Amino acid sequence: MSRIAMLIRRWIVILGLSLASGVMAGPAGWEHSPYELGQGLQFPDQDLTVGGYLSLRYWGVDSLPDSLSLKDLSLFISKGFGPRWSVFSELEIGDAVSISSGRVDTSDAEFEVERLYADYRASQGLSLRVGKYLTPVGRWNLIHADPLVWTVSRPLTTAVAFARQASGAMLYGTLPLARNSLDYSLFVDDTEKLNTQQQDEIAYEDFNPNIPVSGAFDHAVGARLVYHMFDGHMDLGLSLLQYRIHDLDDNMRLVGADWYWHTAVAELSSEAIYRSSRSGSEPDEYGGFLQAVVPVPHQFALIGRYERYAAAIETSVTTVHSLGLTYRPRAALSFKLEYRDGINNELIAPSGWLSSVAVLF
Amino acid sequence: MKIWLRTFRVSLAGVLLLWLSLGSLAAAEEIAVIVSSAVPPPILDSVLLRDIYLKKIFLDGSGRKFIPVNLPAEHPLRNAWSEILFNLSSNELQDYWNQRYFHGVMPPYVLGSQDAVVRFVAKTPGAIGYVAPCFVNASVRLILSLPIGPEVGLDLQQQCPPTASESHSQP
Repeated sequence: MSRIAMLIRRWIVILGLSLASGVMAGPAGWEHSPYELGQGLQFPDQDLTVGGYLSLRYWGVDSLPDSLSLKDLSLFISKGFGPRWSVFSELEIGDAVSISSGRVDTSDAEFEVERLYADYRASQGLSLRVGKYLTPVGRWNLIHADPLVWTVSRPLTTAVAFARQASGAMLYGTLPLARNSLDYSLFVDDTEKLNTQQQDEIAYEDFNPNIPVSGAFDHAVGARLVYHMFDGHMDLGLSLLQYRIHDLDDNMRLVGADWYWHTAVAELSSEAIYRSSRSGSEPDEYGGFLQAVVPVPHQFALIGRYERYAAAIETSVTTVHSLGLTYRPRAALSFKLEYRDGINNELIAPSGWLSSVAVLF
Repeated sequence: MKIWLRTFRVSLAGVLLLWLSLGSLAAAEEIAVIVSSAVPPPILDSVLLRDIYLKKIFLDGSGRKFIPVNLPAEHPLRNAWSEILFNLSSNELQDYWNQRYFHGVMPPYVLGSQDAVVRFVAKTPGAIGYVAPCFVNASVRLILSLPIGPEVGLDLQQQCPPTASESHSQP
């Protein structure tokens, strides 16, 4: 039995025992709040929340067959154990069903433990995380779920130069700083030893699944800082990473910067990364994007994004621009339509129409 | 001379009365942040309080878990609280909590009324709540007062029950 499967079985046993016994119950006397879309099903006395999200996606892009698929079906389980310990898991069935060229296909369906970790709150400003978690590089990767982002497609800058998940340990926390706050995280990864199944991941999974480039770490060490200012209306982030990707021989270094600013009339965000190999055996990979979101009446928003990306597998720089219209009748529910086009983008971000319906439940 | 003395006394009393009434008005325009009076109070300022309510800070200095509690989403005091503490619209806050939920962090639990907040905070070490000052009694400790500016447009007196000054403000 694989290590991950064993972990899941243990997690289910622990969850079942604690639910059945109530030994780990939180403070008694909560008035249970009614269920609210996007907030999960809460059991306050057990310090337990169960929820998830799903995403139905249509892709009609050049060089790939048109497809309609149940792209993500994720289940979150979050459980606290006293004041210091908590466990979180995200279990996902990816590409559960797809319809392409008139055929219903379930052969690409895969069950995956997207995240599984335990958190220990050591002190007010310091926590320890152990397990499999999202790699803290940039802002997008940490909130990449379809209901939480404005567009169907994902910028190349946020995904292909590093692994989206890490397996290992992370120290993180929030520190007050001059009436603002600073989030920090320091992490080490050893996917090669801890999570061998992860090494099947491919870097261009969300762009063109036919490109056989690994999207998994062998091992990594990294840090991220985010400074929140203007009452949280602006964030500045810096990410540093040193790592080895599964099918590349050289060690890589990555520097990333991100910026997010939002007001009642607009939201602007940007991320940029630069990746180089230690010995120079791999070409440098770098890129960045700028995205603007403007709310329009009746819960609609217009989105424009411009990205330039120099991928190691391409000989010239790719330019991608996306225009989108998103309808969010509620914060947890979105209907998106997007047109993507570009220059030298045929392979890694083909032009075409993309659409999705996503709900956080 | 006596007339002057009487006039002076009356004027002094008038000024004192005015000062007292202004003072009580000022006190009425502040949201009371409360913890249980049975445990040593945490040292808080509005920045730390914001991070506690945003679930970025989970423990106090002694390792006790903070348990922030909210009033229902439609409660006028909750709206004023969100505006003062976070300076975010309800949509922006909802986006924030959706993102935190994605990481397994839930927003503060909701209690149905200010009475329920006082009762829960009084018996729960680590709990933090906010109420109109007329609800503060001896079972809880006032640790911070957040002033409500005129732009918020909330009259705190209206958040007190008609008999609140008799039934809640007694120690």
